[in-house]
Amino acid sequence: MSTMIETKNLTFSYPAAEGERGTLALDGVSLSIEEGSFVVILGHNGSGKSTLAKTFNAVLLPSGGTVYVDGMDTTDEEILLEIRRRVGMVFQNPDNQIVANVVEEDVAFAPENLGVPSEEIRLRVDQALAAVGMEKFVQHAPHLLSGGQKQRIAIAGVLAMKPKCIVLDEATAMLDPIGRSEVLSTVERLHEQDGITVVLITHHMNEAEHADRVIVMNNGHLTMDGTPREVFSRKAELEQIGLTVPDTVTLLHSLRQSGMEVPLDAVTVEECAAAIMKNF
Amino acid sequence: MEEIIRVENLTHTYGEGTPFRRSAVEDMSLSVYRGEFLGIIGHTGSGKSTMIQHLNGLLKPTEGHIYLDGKDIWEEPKKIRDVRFRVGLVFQYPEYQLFEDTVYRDIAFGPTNMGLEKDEVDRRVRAAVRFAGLSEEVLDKSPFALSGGQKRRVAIAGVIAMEPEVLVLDEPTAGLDPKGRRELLANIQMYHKERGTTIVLVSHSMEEIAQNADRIVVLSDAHVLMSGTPREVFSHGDELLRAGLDVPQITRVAMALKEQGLAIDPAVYTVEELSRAILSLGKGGAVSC
Repeated sequence: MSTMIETKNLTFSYPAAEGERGTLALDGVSLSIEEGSFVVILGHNGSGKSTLAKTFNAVLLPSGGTVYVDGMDTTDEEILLEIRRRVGMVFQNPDNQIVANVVEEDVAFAPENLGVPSEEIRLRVDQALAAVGMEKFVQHAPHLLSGGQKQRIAIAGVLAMKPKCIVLDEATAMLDPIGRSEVLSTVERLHEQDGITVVLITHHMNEAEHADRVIVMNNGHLTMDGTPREVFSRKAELEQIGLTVPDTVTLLHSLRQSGMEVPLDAVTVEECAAAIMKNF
Repeated sequence: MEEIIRVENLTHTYGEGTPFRRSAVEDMSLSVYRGEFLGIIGHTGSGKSTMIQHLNGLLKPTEGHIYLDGKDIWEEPKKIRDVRFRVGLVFQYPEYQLFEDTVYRDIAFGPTNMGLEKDEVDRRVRAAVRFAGLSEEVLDKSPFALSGGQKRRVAIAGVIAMEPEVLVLDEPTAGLDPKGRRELLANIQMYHKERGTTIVLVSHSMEEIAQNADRIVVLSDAHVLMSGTPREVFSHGDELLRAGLDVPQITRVAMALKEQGLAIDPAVYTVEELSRAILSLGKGGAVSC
């Protein structure tokens, strides 16, 4: 497996106001994300997780250290377009990333700028809208759609670039449960069927359930890195840094404390119920 | 219980006369009772944001009426401003609406427009800052120099400072981390308990609603699907899932255990309740007495 994104001793500090010291949002982060993997990044507000994500397609450039995208150094301006084509980014607020007055034009924006032939654009736009379940809204005005629908349009816009990797920076934060699960299952499908690398940044612990790997950020450092089971079994540590574990894990801890024989790492509802059933 | 707001046969249609004509709210009726903590849930497009914007007269009903203390708020359209002082609405992502150069002036904006004396405005600003969980140190800062979570609290304080009788919050915790969510809700609970203010909380998080609301109204497809205590509502877990809503994760575990033969009430929604229910079971999963 080749490496999709690699950071080496990455630091980033936001420009300081006059007379103040800049805050180090990232403080020596080294990690590599394999091509085709599904990685969830967790962390409280201000932990550096969004800053980290923004370095993945050169929205932010390192203050120190390096970021390689598919082997390309993100500080190399000559290949900036190529880097952004490989790694598509979806942000939290869909209103800030919609540019056109008609849904299909919005989705076509990136491939048009990449100089894709128009028949190919038509195909990509239709495929991208179908992939996010918005094919019925081709001719609609984006501003009349709901927040969840807008976000799916934003994802379609990224898909139309045919990226190798999608980074979602709290892209589900504004969505309701059904919108969230639509986006998540869309992303999971893109990951499974098309082998797209997914980096999902979230506050919602249960979105990490199905990831291959969970990375936890705290104070600009990478503090945990493992499978969802490994990470969520470290309940006390997570709570100490302002995060929680899914309620399933809390339930198992509570049962264990009362003497019931249950594992502490059954994260999903199904696993949790199955673990409890073993006692009856 | 005494009704403070009554929504009667409310219909709201967007884009009338265009091909995009759509009724976001259709013949909807519901009540908000004085002093309660009401939770409103519904999927995107269920009409909840449209509905709550009627509660303080930001939107005018296409059909139907909104009564505040028994009086139709649109009976005298010129007095609609008074309704907005009595029913405070905190929008989604309210931090985008901060505009003053200091936090103090931003929070003081509402009470100043109410024509209050300077001393009273000052008292309210300081009280609101406390209820919103901020320290008075932020008052002299620019709101734009604060973190996202702090900005949100400033925006909420701006509405609280008007001391509304009903405080309506549209997804106040969206985008906050778990600690931020917990703290903000604790602040809203404290405000509710100390002042007895009626709270209407719109949220996507079933856990959040389950843990805070006395009563829940579920909206689906522009209508009221059901209402009741959290226990009553979550006992209809299957129906909620069918309406595209989620139920708390704990309720889903309880539903799964029930399905696999354990004598568990599938309407439980807190970790403590379910833990107790499981531990009270005897071998084989029957209730031990």
